[in-house]
Amino acid sequence: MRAFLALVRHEIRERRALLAAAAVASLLPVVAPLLPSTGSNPAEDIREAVMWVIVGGLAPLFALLLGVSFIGRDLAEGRIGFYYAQPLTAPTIWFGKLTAVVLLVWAVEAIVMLPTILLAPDPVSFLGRPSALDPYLPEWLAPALLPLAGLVIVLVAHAAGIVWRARSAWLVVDLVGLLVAAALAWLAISPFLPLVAPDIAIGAAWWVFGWCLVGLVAAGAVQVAAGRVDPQRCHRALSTTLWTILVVSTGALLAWTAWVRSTDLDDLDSVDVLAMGRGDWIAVWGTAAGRFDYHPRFLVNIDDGRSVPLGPGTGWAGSEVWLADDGRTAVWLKPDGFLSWTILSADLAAEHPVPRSTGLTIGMDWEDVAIAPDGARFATLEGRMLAVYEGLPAEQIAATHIPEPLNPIQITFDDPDTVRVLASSREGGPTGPGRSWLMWFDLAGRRLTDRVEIPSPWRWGRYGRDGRTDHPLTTIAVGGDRHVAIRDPATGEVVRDLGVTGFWSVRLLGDGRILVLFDHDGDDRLEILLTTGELAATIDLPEADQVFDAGMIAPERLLVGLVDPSGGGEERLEHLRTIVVDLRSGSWSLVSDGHLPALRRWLAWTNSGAWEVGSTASRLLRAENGSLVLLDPATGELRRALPASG
Amino acid sequence: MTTTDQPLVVDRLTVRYGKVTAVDDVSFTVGPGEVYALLGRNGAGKSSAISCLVGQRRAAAGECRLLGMDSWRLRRRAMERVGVVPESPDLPPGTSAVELGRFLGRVRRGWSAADFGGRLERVGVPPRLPAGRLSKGQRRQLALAAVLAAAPEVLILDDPTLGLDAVVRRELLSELVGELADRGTTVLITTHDLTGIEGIADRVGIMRRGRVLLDEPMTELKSRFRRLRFMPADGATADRVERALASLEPLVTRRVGSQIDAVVGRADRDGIAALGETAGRVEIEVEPLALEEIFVALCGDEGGGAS
Repeated sequence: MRAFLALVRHEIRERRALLAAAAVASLLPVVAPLLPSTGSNPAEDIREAVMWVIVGGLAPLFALLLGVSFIGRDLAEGRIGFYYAQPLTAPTIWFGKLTAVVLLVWAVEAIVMLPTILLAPDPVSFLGRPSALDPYLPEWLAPALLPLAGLVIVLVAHAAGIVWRARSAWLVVDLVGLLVAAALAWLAISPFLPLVAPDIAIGAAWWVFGWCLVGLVAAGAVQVAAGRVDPQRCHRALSTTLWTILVVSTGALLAWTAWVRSTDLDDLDSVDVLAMGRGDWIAVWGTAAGRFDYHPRFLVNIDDGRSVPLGPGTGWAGSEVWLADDGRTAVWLKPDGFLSWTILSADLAAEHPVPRSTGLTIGMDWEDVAIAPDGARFATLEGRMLAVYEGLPAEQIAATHIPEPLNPIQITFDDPDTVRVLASSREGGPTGPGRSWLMWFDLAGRRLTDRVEIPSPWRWGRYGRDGRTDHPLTTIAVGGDRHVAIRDPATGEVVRDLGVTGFWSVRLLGDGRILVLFDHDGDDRLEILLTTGELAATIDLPEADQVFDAGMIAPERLLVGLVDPSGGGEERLEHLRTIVVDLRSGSWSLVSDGHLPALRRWLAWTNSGAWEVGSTASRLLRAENGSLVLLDPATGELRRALPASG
Repeated sequence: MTTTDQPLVVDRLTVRYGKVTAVDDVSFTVGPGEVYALLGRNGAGKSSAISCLVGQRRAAAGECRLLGMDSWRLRRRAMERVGVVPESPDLPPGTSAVELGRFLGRVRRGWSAADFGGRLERVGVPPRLPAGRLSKGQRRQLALAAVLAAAPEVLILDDPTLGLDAVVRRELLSELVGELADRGTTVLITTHDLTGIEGIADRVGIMRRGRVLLDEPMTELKSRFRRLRFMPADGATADRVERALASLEPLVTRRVGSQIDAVVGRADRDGIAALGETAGRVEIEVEPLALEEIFVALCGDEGGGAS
């Protein structure tokens, strides 16, 4: 340690002129506000701007020069032997010299910044205040960015300097190593970019970055130990060490990411439902131990256990799966490179369903996808373009452009030949008096037909169709005051004004009645309305933080999910309950304490088949631990459905 | 004392730069307190051999030992007891003598700041001027002072007089003789100053084209090599002399008119007498050779063989 410290001190002293240069440069921000051309800008702003320009230019420049020269120049000019002629170990020489130049770079950064910080109105908080980089960097990294950049530049410049000065045949190895390591890193990280698993992508990038640093430091150490005064030998030692470390570390990363991507249905330890329809097929995604935010999706037949891997979800838009009303066809999106998705489909009626490409790709401006009730057609909404396809590979059979100033939001097949479009306009900005329209695209005529205007800027309209009367309804919030009304989408006429409400859900019960659930603090209740909007009954629900309608497990038997906060501390815990409400008598009973219905009204991509009375979907409950169970409505028993084991 | 116990051992050393062999299967040893002069023309492989010997370059084959330690693997430990002055002074250019002394005082055992300072004062090296701004001679003096102040058991000097004027060269060598005689230091020195080293070295090794031509004590070497001058009466006699000379394997033979000069490496009295008999009645002058003349005879034409 004594020799190490002596060498560090010696190396710093050898290059102390840099500190003097930094001290001179640090005065530039101080005098900058005195220049006549700075106008009326505040002096502290000018000082800071000039300081960052100098820090951003000078420190990297010094880091580059020091990195290239602190060993490379001594080696090239035959002076490195001085250090080997002393009783210094190779690690002492490498780490002593490296430490000295890194400290010098950091000292240059600090010296340049110091006068500006001291002259700032609040010097103490100068460095701690938010920066423009904060949203993009981990909290700890922003203040460490400058020192870290200095270290990285020194190490990279050192390696490049050794390679450049030696210019030996090992350059070929460098090029191959660089290509192989870069290719391995790209193959490992790109499947998670940009949306599939950002935590894994960022973590993997840090892994590569970290090993680059380790590789550069280790390569320098090996170079100093094994190459000594021989430039060619130095190059060889540096290259073999660096590329071995990088290729092995990126190769290990690739192997690990391959393992993550191979996650099977059986590996999932927590499952969420993505889509449900008529029949036994549901779409799920979940998490598995050690896979972080990677969420593989599967189509699963709850009855017989068959499954179809769908690839990963993206964490937000792009993870949806659309099931045809008949439950025999599924369509989903698969991330395909940066911000584009391939549309795949599967014939669930087949004995062994497999993903099949439709040959279609959609970009990041896609708004919605819809599948026809019989699964024969599907439609995509990209920007203003509505296109309808059929067959495999998919062929476009009709398309239309939604005219300005409407922004199409949602598409739904009313029947195989008609696509309903919800669009809105944003007059007056997000808080202005926007309006919504419902339009219908006639595939045979290839034109937009009727248009119904609804005065609302809010896009979260809900639709339902009455199975018996085929009567469509919509609820649309009005304005920003959360005033809600049930409207007839054919005419836009208000069927019933629900008033100003917090959370609610509306759907048709299949016999013309309308079911409205109000999730109000202290006033959770169900209202049953007639088709005309007249109130037929009110049923009070048990108090809960969240209450939602979860479908009918049998005629007049409604499943309701209740969520209460539980536990304390920073971790958000929830207590889950499921009750069944008898709509005739207005009474309710507990089905499960610890489970919640999987069927949610707000799952926009859950098709109407799932809402059929007694559907498989309506009997599916999710436990607090993320497993799915199937409720037997006759006995009240719960049978484990997913994960199959555990 | 076995060979491996010697303070300095080079054993079957080979050094290669790519496909070029700079040192080819070279062996020599230096005993305790001995001054060994390793001589050779530029490019003979001396500096490459020394670079390996001090653990700075890896040998392609063979091994080097300093004070019984493998100089590649145990370089740091060896350097605690060994001082090295390289061919070109490699002192950090921004470091003054004072700063250098401070640094070496922290990393070298047995460092004597008084010795260092005294020597610098004697040779007139400015203590606060950065090494990069010193003259070549001053830098070399500084390097030497830095090495000697640690009182090394083994001193390796790679052409320490290179680029120095004659006065400084003499001073440096005589200074070395005094210092080293006092300390009993083992010294390996390479130099082109053959006259200067002649009175200092105990043993001489001469390298040519990467190989050792000879390795023997200075006195033996000097007693073995002689210049023979024949002055035959006529050309026919001169021809006989030349034919007879072949038996002594002369390193150099020069004929000017009827006079013949030859340098031989096996100049024993009986051999010369026999030569006189063979050649007929010929007047022969026998002269001893200076080290420089021996070196030129051996390496001058780059064609002579080892004796």
